[in-house]
Amino acid sequence: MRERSISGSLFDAGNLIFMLAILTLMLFPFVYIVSYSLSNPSMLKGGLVLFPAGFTLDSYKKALGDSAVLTGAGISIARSIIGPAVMLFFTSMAAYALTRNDLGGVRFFRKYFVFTLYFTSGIIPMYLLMGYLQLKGTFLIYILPSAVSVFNMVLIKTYMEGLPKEMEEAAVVDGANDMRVFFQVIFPVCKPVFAAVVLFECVNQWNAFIDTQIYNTMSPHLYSLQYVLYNTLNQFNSLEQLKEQGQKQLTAITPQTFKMAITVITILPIAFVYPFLQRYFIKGLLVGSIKG
Amino acid sequence: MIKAGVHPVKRVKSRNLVRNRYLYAMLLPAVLLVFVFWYVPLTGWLIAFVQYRPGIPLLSAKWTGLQQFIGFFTDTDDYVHLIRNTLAINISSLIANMTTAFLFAILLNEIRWRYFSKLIQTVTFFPFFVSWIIIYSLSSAMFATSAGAINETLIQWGVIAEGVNLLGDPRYSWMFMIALGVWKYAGYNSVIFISAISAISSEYYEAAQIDGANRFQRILYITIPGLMPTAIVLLILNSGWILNSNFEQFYLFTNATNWQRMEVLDIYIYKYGLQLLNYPYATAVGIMKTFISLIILMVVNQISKKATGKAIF
Amino acid sequence: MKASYQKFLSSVIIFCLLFVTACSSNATKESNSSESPSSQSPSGQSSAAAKEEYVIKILTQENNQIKRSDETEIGKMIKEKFNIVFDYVQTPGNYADKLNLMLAGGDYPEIIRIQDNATFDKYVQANTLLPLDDFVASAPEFAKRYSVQIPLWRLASNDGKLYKWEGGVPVDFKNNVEVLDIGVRTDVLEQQGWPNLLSTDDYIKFLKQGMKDNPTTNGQKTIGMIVPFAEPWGMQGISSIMYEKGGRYSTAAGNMGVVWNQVDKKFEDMMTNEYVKEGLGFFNRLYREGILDKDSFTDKMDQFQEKLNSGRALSSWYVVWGLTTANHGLIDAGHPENQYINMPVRSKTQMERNEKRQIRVEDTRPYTIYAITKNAKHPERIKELLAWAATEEGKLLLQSGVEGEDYTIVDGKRQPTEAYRKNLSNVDALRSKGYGMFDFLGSVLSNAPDGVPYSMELNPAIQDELQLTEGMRNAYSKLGWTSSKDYFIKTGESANTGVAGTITVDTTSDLGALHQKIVDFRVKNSAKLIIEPKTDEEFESMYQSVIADYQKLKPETVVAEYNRLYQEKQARLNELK
Repeated sequence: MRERSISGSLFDAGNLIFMLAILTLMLFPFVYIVSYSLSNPSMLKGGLVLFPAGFTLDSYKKALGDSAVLTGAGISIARSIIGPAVMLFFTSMAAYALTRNDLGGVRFFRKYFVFTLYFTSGIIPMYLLMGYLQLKGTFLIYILPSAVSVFNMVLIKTYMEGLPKEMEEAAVVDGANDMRVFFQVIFPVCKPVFAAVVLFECVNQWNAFIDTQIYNTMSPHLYSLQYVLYNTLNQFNSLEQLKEQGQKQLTAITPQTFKMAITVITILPIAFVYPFLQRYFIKGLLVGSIKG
Repeated sequence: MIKAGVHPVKRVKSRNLVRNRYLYAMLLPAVLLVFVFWYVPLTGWLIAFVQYRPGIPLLSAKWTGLQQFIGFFTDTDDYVHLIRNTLAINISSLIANMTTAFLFAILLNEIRWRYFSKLIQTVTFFPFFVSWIIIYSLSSAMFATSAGAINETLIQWGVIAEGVNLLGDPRYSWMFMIALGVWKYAGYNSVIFISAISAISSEYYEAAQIDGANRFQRILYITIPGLMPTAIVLLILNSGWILNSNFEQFYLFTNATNWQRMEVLDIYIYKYGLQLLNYPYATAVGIMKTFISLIILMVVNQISKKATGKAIF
Repeated sequence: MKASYQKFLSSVIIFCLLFVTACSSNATKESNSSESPSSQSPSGQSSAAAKEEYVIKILTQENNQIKRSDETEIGKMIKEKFNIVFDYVQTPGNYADKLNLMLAGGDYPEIIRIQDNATFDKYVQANTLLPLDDFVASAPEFAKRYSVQIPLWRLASNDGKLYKWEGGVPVDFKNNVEVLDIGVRTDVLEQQGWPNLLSTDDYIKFLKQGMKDNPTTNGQKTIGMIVPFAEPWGMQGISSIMYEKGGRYSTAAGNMGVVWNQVDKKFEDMMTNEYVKEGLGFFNRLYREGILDKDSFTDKMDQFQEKLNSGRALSSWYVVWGLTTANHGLIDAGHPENQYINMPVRSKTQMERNEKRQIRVEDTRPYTIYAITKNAKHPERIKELLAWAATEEGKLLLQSGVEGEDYTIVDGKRQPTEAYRKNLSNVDALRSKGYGMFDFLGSVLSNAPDGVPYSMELNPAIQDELQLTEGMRNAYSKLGWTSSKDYFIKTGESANTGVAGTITVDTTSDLGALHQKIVDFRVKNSAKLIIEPKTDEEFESMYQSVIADYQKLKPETVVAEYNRLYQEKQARLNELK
């Protein structure tokens, strides 16, 4: 008994040190990013920045001073809430149906979904499709194409398959139909995996700007925050363009400090959202529901 | 309404339809959405077989047949290093990413101080949000040969005479890319394992404790087996993607000194497809990649079914 | 607990679905109203339509705070006169890709900017651009302004019609002497008695001595020469650029697989070019001597900029257009002595031959093509505006501003006012005035009838005063130069790009792919040639083996195609004339 506890506390200590090391490894670069973002661009001399060089809030003022940032934040928040909710609704229902081996054609449907994970149809067909569907220039284009996430569907299905069969059977005996079984019995006990996939989707929606860039450039009222910020990072990849800017004596190249500020701005919300979702990753969720 | 070529007997089919009507109703919206947004655009694969020019209707374009596909194999002998690099980096990355996320989730589960574990969990998620362009600057600031902080310090201390060129020397390229991937995605990937751990009934742990199992035994006999289904599913799903590289990462980190080890398939396709606005070429390569991915997926799925009894379809 | 959770969840979902439907119905209405230009007939309603406000969306890649043209002073005047307003829509990312998508989807904007010949060609072939031939016939001032360009622009289309105009042309040589060689730190020049550096040997001696004299700069280890080779255009574009420094060749063909021989009027292979070889040899020697920064192969512009800001680099290769900005930073940081100036370089053979440098003067600019598309609702109103922009009134307003406010007329010549000069250093002020916001109407680098450039800051007499710091001007006078361009104007001559600037091979053809391949080959092997050889002999033998491999790719077929296209276009041009 005693031996065990010694090895146990040794393990705890080692684990703690390991986690602290990870914490440092993950946080250290952010010290760099934050310090950099607070620096005066012309004072930066290369190498590691651990303290702001010539403290200034200019980058943040510039990033937040744009009226488009406010609209963009609204759109981003909307899509980060609505997107995951819609995704969860459609995806989890389908995932449940796919767990049922007695469903006719279920093997076909599993392949039907999983195969799409590896399709690359190219950007032009997608663009034309969105045109036909009249989705270009609408908010729906952020929601509908990602309303079914096959990757998440598989994760949810795997989780559901790990649940004890008795729960379902008990409900069926009670005379509940499949839909009620799903919403009343299965849905509540899937909170951990739902929290995970909602987090994934939330993060994807928050980070997305390519869809805005492809489909909604002509509709400034639908710009997402990431797109507005990405806009300010115009990178000139061609030498001629760079020279043209240089000859006009414009410092059109965004200073690196600004990119760093944007990184900070986009990370901050996750520091609030994640802890909120974490409460669903709790052990022992199942016990109560099976017994009760 | 429902496609079901699987059941040969009609009566069974109709009975199944009635009995499972709720399940079909739950499945239908997803089937339709996937059909519209994934299967319909596949008609665009036609582009690979014609001399496509944007703005001119597809059907009036000149038919070129399999020219793009054949050209892909006959035009160049670069494939040896491209495929070697792509597979080496992607397979190692897949293994490294999965293992670290897996271990991290288990170790995090053993942290007893809840606020600390939550803090770690949140912080490890941060790197996911750092764009590759920033990671490039960060890498340069730390690892550059002459101006990088680490090399500068080591040279100052006399540990090394000349800086280690992580960014430019092809010898370190693979390792460096894999390490950066692990750093960026460990937190993100571990989320799904953390959620899977929550699903393991605490009754098992209680029972184990009563039986006198120690921490390691509990991890070994309860936590790890509990995580296996998720791990296998992730492995199968990801195996189909081993030809796909993170474009942005390789676009930024490939340079004229390390290309032998860094050039991957996706960069090559970009160079000779999209950069030259050659859509038929890009589409043809996309089609081939889709088929290769599906074959890999089916094979791995089958192997897993035989070996572990777990499969995704 | 279970029930309330469920209720909460279902209400969230219902709310979301409602919201989504509401949003989409709104948006479709909007998109319907804005996306139906094709249904309107594009002709013959000029007088009625002239009354209503006409908003045109303009794609821009520049990042600015101005969203509508009537937020600017010049934009307000345009609105008063024509009731036309421009909406600036920012399109970051791969622009050519974007244009191709819009072409496929048919939703390209009314006025379009195209940045490469290949995409322009696709737009022409898809029959999406409006021909401007009738317009040119009716707008004599436009025809006169672009008299050199219009025949070249016609060449760009298969049917010989005119579909485009360009920004940044025509150019007066002296207004825009495009010379980018080596940025050199002035305090080191001073230490060594203001030598007039020129040959590659001069530079190696100078930089070697400089590094010995200044082992550290402001507490950091000194670096000999910095180059952002890791940029996409780095190794490809500027490791070979030595070819333009002395005689024969100009940069008319971009920095791909071929160089343009201005004197013999033909394209030649870039990789095998003798000056390109000398350039690589120069880098190899710099590398061997420990002068070339080891990080240069992995440095992008951000890292390059940081090193320049720190003052620790003794010199910078080619990327010298931002030197003034860097110098201002150095002054602010308390190191005014570390400022940089641009100085010339020539290879050994170029020194021996002592020919006149061929300084590129662009007759066409495929990077800034503009066209009116078939999606234009009122093309006649756009043309009306375009015709006005080509008049003296238009050109002066767009590029010089308002008399009294931005310039005064002294002895019949425009003189910039103090306010104008002040604005020059402030991007936001320039933009809120409207400068640079209407480049799609044409912006010329040539002189007005009064002998002063339309953009007054380009005036050679005051260019240095406006664009350089005091330290830079002092350095040039210590060197014995009358201006920063003095040496280059004396030893160079203008090299008009003419037809050569319009030639590109079809990128989607087999030759296009081969062209890409030879560029790729050059990029990959240039780095090897710079880093690996330990002696001049080793460089020579490695170079020979690289070239032997290179010849196996059959690069001469690409060069031949360039020359064939050139001959063909030149012949057509002569016909058009």
